[in-house]
Amino acid sequence: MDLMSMCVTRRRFIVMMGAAAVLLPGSCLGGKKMVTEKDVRVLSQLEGTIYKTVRDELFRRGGDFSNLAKRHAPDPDWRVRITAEILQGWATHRSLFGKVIAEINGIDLAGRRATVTGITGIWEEYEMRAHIEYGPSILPLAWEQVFKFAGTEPAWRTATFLAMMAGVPVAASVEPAAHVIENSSEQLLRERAALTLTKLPRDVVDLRLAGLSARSGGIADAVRTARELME
Amino acid sequence: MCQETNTAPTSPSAHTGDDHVLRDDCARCQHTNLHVRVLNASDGTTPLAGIEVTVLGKGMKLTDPNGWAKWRPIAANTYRIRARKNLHSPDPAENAAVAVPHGSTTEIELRIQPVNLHLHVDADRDGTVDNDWRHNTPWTPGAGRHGAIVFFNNDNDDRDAAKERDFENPTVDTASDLPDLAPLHVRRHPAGVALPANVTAELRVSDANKLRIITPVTAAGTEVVGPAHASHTLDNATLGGSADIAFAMEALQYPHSGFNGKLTVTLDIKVNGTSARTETAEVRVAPWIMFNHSNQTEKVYVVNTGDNGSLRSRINWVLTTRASLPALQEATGATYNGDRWMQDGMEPGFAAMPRAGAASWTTPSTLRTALDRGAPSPPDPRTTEIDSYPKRELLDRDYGFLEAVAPTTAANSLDSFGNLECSPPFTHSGAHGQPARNYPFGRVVFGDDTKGHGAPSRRMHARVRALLAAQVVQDPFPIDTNWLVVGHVDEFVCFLPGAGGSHGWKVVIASPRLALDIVRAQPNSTPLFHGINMNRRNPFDTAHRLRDSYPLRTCGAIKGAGGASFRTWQTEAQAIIDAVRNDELKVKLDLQDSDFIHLPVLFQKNGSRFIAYTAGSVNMLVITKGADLHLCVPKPFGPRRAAGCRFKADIRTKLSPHARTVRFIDDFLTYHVGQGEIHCGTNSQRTPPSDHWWEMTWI
Repeated sequence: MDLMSMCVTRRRFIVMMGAAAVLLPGSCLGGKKMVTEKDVRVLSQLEGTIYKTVRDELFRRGGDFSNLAKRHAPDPDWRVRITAEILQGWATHRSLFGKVIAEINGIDLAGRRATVTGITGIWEEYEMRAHIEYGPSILPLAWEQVFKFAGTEPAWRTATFLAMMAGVPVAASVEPAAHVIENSSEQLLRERAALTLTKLPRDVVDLRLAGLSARSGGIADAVRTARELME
Repeated sequence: MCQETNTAPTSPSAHTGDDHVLRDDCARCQHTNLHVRVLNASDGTTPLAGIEVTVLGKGMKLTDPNGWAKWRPIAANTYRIRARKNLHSPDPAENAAVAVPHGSTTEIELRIQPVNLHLHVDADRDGTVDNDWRHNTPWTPGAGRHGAIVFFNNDNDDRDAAKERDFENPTVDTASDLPDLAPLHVRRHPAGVALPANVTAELRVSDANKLRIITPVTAAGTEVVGPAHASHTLDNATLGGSADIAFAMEALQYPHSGFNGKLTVTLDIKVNGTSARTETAEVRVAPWIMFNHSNQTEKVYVVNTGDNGSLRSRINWVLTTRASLPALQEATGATYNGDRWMQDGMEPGFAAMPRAGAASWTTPSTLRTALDRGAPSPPDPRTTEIDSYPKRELLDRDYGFLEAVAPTTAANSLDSFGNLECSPPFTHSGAHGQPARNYPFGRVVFGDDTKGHGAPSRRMHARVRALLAAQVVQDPFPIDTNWLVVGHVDEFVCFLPGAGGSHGWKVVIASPRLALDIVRAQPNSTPLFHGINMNRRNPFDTAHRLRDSYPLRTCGAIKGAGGASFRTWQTEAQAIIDAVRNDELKVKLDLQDSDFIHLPVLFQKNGSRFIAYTAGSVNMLVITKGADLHLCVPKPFGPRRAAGCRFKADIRTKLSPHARTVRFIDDFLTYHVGQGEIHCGTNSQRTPPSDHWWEMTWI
């Protein structure tokens, strides 16, 4: 898959490449042991393979990731806050994340599809596992997969991580889920993201919905439909 | 000479000509009177009160209870007299020259009669239009009560290629569609009496998006009231004809949330364009009713997936040889992307309304699951999943189709219809604080998260639950199924009609406790899953071998230290099943402990939820033919001794007294490993029972 296909628009592609170029030379120059605010901010703008490349380069450089989330918690841009959480999550739970990703990559999709529960069974299983087994530790991975890879990975896979967000409902998941509804044209992802929102803290979701621009009115509709399902 | 005043008229013209002006001297004459009596023309004798009588130039008076309107005194003269009232014929009745001589009382009679328009429906529910219009409203349930019934016309009588259901267009869909329409007549009373020229009428319904009125009642009929027409005007010429004006009604929806199925048809009778009288008829949409195992099996559906030939041939043997029923109706697996779960894509049911003669008019109608089983898009766009089968292959002339909601990927496994079952008929005694009621169509049972087991929560789609509840007659209730991986009622509960007990039927229920007891009673070396090659790949998860999913394969393994968790799971599962039995099934279905038949099934736990480890024999196909039951039971693959499988022996002992056939069928690799069993892989079309839902008193 080429880089262009991972970017929503050509303009965005150029912005991403530029951002990566700003970040990567710094890392190549070698040696910084601090993850800077600029690193996080640049990474927050990237998606897909280029995001993964830059993220991995950050970790290859090494550094202190332990306090990233707290340092960026006041940032008004949710993308920055979430990216900091993701980086810190990878630093802290790399083993868990690797195990879960390997598991999901190893799913026999055709076989699971042929079971009684079908693809839905995968989502139900991982929502449950997040709820009773992984806990909040899994959320940075779920956010990353939903926020950074929704446009490049198969929809069923992104939906699996949305299900994990539903399994551990926290306010911070509202923006990544809403982001999917805003940016994806896939009905499956929009439905599953809306369903996820219905399981997140209602006051935060309602606040987010109240602040929607007209362009994002589809989120409210999607959530309304999903809530109707639940009630 | 005026006797009263003893004076002569001052002018000879006073009582002649057409000035009709009473002179002052005659005005004082109390002996010149005009009495007009209005009688009912239909019998010529009954006085009519409240009729407007006009003596031209003298004004109008209403007749009294004896039919009289009196002018006392009145000047001697010749008068034109008219009597009229809205919706009376003739309008007006007239005597153009009534001579009123001086000094006397003149009495005349005019005859008119009420003429009216009435709505005629089948309010007495005998299948024909009633002559009596006085019981059109309110709609009242119960035998001998009144209120007409309309059908949700969701079959496809014209068999059009687009699979458009009959209600989805404004026309009658060939003559075959006519029996699905409920009659509505507008009739003039009395039939032979002319309708006044100033009378017109308008037909309306309380919700034109839910009820359509069609005329003529022929294959050429089309909508006159409905989504595209708020009302229909009947002009005087149409109303003045000699025959009934015939219409037909079709419902456009089943009852659902916020709609109790009752609708009102209004006939607004107008005089000179102004509403003079309205008449209404309340109708009720026939509910969608689920089948239960006591209903006669007509056919059994299965998906031919290529790998299930053995199972199909064994079920066919039971159907054709034992039950003398048609062989399986097979869906082609390739068409449905190999989706073999015929039970989960649809729920067959029916609707019924009165028809002349003993039998009611029934139309099967199948509900589609709310779960989009086909997402993400299947590899071949020409294929689809099994939830599209009912519309694609069953929808037909006199076979309907419905959805509570368009299928969505936001639904979950509890939306599959292995999670939707129905008890046989019974009468609840009122025990456990429940209403004492008769349930001639049984009660709908669906799985839900009622107790918080198996978190996080899953629930059947709210619109499906609302649809089921709105039908009322089978008063649905939930039981806890969220504790199961798949989450379906049929994984651990099955209704067995004709098995005796409190209501003449029993509940077969899974028992991990019993299964564990049987395991404990066997030597350690006793194998489970005898005959299954556990080294082969799992056909539903080719990354793993079967032995990975079934690590405990002897009774000793289960009884030993390595089986400690497994044994605990049986205790946990049994506790949940006991709670469902005691708190939900016994309460809602008015059952005793002796009404349950416990079959051994071992469960395994996956996270917070359970799934059958040995084949779930409760998940059986129940074939009902006459008074006989024929059971296709998943072969359990329990502890295998020289005398055979101990689970199988226990199951046969318990089921054989109640069934003519108990046939164990191996579904392990083709269904069990894929999280289901025989019931999940089949579905049954049954014959609607002859009971009349409209005779239930509490609906």
